[in-house]
Amino acid sequence: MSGTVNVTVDGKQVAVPGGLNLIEAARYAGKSVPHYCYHPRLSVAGNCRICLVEIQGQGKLQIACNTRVTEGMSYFTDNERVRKAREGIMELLLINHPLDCPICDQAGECKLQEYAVEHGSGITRYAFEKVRKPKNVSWGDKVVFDSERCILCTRCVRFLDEVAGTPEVGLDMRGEKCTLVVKGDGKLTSPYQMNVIDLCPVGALTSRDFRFKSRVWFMHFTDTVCTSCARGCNVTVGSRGDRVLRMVPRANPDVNHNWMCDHGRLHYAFVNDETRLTVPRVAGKGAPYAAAIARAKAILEGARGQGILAVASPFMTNEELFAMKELLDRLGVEDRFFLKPMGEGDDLLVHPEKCPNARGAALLGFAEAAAEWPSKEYGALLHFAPHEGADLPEEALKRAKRRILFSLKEREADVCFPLTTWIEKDGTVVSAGDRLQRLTKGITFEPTLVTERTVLDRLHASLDASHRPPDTAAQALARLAAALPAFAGVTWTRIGPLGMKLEATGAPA
Amino acid sequence: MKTRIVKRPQLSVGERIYFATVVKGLLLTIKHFFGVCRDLFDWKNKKTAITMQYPEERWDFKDNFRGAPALVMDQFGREKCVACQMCEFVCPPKAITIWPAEFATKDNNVEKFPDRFEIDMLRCIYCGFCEEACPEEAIFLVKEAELVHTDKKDFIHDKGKLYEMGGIREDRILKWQHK
Repeated sequence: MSGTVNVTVDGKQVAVPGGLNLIEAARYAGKSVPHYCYHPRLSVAGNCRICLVEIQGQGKLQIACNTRVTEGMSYFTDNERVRKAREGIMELLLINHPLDCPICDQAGECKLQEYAVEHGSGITRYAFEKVRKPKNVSWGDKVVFDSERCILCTRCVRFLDEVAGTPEVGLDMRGEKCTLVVKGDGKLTSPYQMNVIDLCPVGALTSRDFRFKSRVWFMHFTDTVCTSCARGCNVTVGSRGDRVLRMVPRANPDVNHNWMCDHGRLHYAFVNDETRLTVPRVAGKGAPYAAAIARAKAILEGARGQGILAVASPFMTNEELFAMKELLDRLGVEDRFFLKPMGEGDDLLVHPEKCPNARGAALLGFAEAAAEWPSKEYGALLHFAPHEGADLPEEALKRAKRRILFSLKEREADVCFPLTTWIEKDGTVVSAGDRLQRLTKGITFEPTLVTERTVLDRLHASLDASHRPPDTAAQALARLAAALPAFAGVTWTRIGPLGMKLEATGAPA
Repeated sequence: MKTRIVKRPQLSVGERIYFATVVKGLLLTIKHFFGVCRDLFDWKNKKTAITMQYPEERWDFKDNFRGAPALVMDQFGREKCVACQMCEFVCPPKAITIWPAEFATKDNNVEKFPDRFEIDMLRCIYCGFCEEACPEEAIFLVKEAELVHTDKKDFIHDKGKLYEMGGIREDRILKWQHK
């Protein structure tokens, strides 16, 4: 079906695209229909029955998720009959639901809690003992299953079957004994298995990693982008006390839909590592930023005649790379490289490039380092060590007399500046398909830490008093957009929370 | 605004002399003086004296007295707190901090417990919200109001101190037995 059809939702006439189901169509009228089993990216199961609506001219209530709009249809999402039906469904779902909310990780973002308040009657008439089912069942080392909390919506079953392509969960038994089972030895194998935790509308599936770490209402949420590979899945990072506690996917129809891989989701331990470098080191001793920048300036000025090797990192944002480019232009440095960590990819989301911004580094004039390093001797090395993956080989490090490093951990160098991770700064990266996306600062790991862009700009300003560095990431991006044709017309607000395609690069989508 | 004239009460002659009133007051003072003198010999059954010999004598607080918050155990000596952090959430001065943990073994039916539980008594305002919010009846304001330390760190009550103060309270429900 196509074209638009006119429907009436609760007496309000709206024109909606044809072929929509009644839940989506109700959104056009500003109405929300409650739903558990329905998910826009999964097939319709229609088993939770909470989305019942009354369609004019039909005797019985119909489920909104499995009914499509037709021309002239009129339905009610909020009349007395529908409310009564929902109340009945809520009562049924809550009959055997345990009172686990105080210790349930889902509490606070639980659809069952929300709908119980919104559509429930507030009391139970069930006077008998609740059915007991297995609790705290391990589905491998990532997912924990609680059968008592499960409302049998089968979202997890459908996700693993339809999206992840590993149909390994199913329903077993009938009636009150009905429960989810994992085939084989009861452990999930899918590399996307943790998406079932987000999909689960109740607390039946919880994350082993996040288990009991924090109640959701204590956390601070930041919308940003995952940096584990070049895909750049949109994520929401949950943090408390300036430490990252979890990452969950954020819906972006052009990048990751509603999903992300388990590797990316669990890949944040290096952010919280308490042994990270937090103050610059000059010749192995802690030093204030001003002293470290002065030393770095002396090294760079002393090495001008002998040549400088610059090695950027694809974990840097475009703004940082641009600040580095400006500094290198000022110094007249020719040899600019970056190291690209590679790994395994798959057909769904995982990209073989294990870094967020290799494209950005290439667009900003850095060359991907070849296996063979130029056999030149250098006066100085300016190197941003990658968070992980292959670092600069020892032979390349030895080429330079003096070394200025940026590193997460302390390393042997003349000057070693601390790196900040992706969640500690604003910036942009160019993800797969030349998609420009924004990183947002969510935590301050240590108040003493200064971001790389500021260090580079201060270093630049110490060499050239006329250098007026931009203040915010948005200003830095504006400067970058004015200088590079590939970024022409790009502004911080134009990128938006979902990112935008860099048209000027001419890359296929 | 309209002025209202207040008529002052007229004192009688006896009141204006006030000698009789002075004598009356003095007699009461003398009565109390001798009463307290008598009480000194039998302090336990004192009748007149209302002062308290403080460190030796203490208030007998009423049952609904709101003193320092403390954690309690049930009659089986089990920890009632499940580290739901409701008290931490509701605490207006943010005095409570909990580090939840999961039981390594599954032999008991409880999944979650507080690994560390700290109440900063320099922040606590004795409001009793924690007791009210607790779904497990694990935290109570006990009859403990005299917190005197010479070190600020001692005002942070850890789990051991909180259980020592709270002691044992009878639990009728015993959820851990049934689940």
